[in-house]
Amino acid sequence: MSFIEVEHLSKEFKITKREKGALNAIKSMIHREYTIKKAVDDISFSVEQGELVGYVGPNGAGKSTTIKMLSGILTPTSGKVTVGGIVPYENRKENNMRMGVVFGQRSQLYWDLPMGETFELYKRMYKIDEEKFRRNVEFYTELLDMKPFLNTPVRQLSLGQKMRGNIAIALLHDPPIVYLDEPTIGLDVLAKSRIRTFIKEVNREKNITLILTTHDMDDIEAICNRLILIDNGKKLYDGGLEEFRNTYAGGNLLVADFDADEVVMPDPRLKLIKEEGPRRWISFRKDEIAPMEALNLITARYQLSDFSMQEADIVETIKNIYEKKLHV
Amino acid sequence: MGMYYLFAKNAFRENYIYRANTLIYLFTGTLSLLIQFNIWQAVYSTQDAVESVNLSEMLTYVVLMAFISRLTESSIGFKLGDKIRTGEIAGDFVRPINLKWYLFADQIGNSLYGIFLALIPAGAMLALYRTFLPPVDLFHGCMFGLSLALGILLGYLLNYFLGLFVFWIKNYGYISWFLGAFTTLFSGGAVPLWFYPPALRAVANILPFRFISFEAVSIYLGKTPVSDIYIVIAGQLIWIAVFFVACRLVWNRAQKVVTVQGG
Repeated sequence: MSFIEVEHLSKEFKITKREKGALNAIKSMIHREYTIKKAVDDISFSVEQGELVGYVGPNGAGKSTTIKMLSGILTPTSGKVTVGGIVPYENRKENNMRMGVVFGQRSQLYWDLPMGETFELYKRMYKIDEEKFRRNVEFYTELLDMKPFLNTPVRQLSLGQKMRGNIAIALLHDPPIVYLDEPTIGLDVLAKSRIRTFIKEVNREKNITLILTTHDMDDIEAICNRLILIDNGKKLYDGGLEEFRNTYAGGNLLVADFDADEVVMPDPRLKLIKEEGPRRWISFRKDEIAPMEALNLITARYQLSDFSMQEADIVETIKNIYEKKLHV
Repeated sequence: MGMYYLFAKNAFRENYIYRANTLIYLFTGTLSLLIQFNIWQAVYSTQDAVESVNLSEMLTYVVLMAFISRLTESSIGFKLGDKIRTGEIAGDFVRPINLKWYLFADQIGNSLYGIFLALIPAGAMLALYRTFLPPVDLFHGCMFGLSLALGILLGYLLNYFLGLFVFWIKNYGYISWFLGAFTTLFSGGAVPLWFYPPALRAVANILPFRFISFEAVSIYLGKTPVSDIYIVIAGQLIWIAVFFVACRLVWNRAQKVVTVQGG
C-alpha cells in the first residue's frame, strides 16, 4: 500500500442561487434554491513516501478542496483518503501530529508577536524535544535566511518573510507529509526562488513527502518530479514531469543556424518543425535520443554556426490542454 | 497542558501592545463605574435599604460585578464565528489541538489582562468612596470562589456553543445580538435580580444567565441562604453538563458541514 491512497474521491458543495429583485430576496428567506457543484469529481491517485508532487489546475479546478480533504479539514462526499494508514478526517488529531500544512493565503503566526513565540508554541503543540527543536530552528533559520527578522513582530514583516515563517513552523516537527497550498502566491522572484531551494533541500535532507498546489509552473519545474493535472474536479494527467514534457510538450528543441541551404533530417527521431532563414527548429524526445547524440548526428553532416538546446515549454502545453486545444 | 498555558500567555501579551486600546479601556471602565455609583447613590438618597440591600452592599455589588464580569464575559463565540466566516478555521483544523480548549485558553489570557486593567478603576473608586465589603465569612468566600469558577466555565461554554452555529448561519452578528440582549436582561449585570418583579425573576430563574456571575456575587454578599448555596452550585453543574453535551453534539454535526470559506 502506498503512503497516500486516494480512491474515487468526490466533494460536492451546495451553492445558493441568488436572483435579483426585492421579491426574490424575500422569497429566498423562505425557500432557497441550490445548485450542486462538484468541486472534486472521482479522483484517484497514490503517492509514495519521498515523492514531490505538483498538483496543478486553473482557479476553481478543485486543487485546494483536494488538499483540504487530504489534510482532514473537509469530509468527502464520497470516496476515501488514507495517509500513512489513517483516514485524516476521521482521526484528525492523530493525523495533525504527522503532517505540516501551509496555506499561502493564510498565516498561522501570531500577528502581534515575534515569530519566535510561535515557534515555542509549536514546540509544545507537537511535543518536539529540545534537541530536535533547536536543530530544526537553526537549520530553517539559516536556510530561509530568517535571522534578521526573527525578533520583529509579525505584523511588521513582508509577505515573503511571513511565508518563510509559515513554512518553517509547518516543518518544525519533521512531519513525514507536507501540503503546500500555493506557497509562493504573491511573492517576488527572489522570495520564490529561496522557497523552492529550501523545499528541495528539506526533501533531500529529511525525505519528506510533499504535495504542492500552485499556479506557477516554475514552482513545479523547480521542485517536483511528478505532476497531477486537474480541471473541473477531474484528473487529466498523472505522471512524471519528464514524461509529460516528452509526450505532450513535444519533447526538447534544438535550435541551430545551418550553413547549408537545404537541410534534411538524418534520422527519423529528429523532426524539423520550423525554418527561418538559416535558423532551424528541430524537435526530439529525450527518451528516444540523447541530446548529445542528436547534435552529433547533425554536425556529422552539416556545419553549424550557432546552436542552442531548449526544454519544452510546459506552461504553453498546459495552457493548450486547458483551452482544449490539446487532448490528454 | 503547556501548550494551552502558552496560548493564554500569548493572548495576554498580544493585549499590551496596543497602548491606545488600554487607555480607552481604562477610561470607559472608570466612567462606567462612576455612573453606576452615582445612580445607586441617588436611589439610596431617600431610603436606607431596597429589598433589604443597603448602599454599601450595593456599591460592593457594582464593583465586584464589574470586576468578575471581566472573567466571565468572553468573545469566544465572536472569535469562533469570525474564524468560520473568514475560513481561518482551516488553520485551526490542521493543528493537533482541541479547538474548544484553545479558545478557552486564549480567552483566559485576554480576561486576565482585563482583570489587570479593571483593578485600576476599581481601586480609584475604592479610594474615593471607601466602601467595599469583604465576604460575609470564610465559608461564603470559598463558595464564592467555587461558584465564580463554575460561572466562568459556564459562560465560556454558552458562548462557544452559540459560536458553533456560525457553521450554518455563517454570521455571528444575529447570535451576538440575542446573546447580548438576554445577558443584559437576565444575568443581573446591570440591575441585581433581587429587584426584579416576580414574573421577570421567574424567567431569569429558568435561564442559565444568572449562574454566570450574579449568583456568585449573591453568595459573596450573603444574600443566598446557606442551604440554597448548594442548590446554586448544583444548578451551575447541571447547566455546565447540558452545554458540554450540547457542544459535543453540535460539534460532531458541524464537522460534516464544514466548508472553508474564501478559498
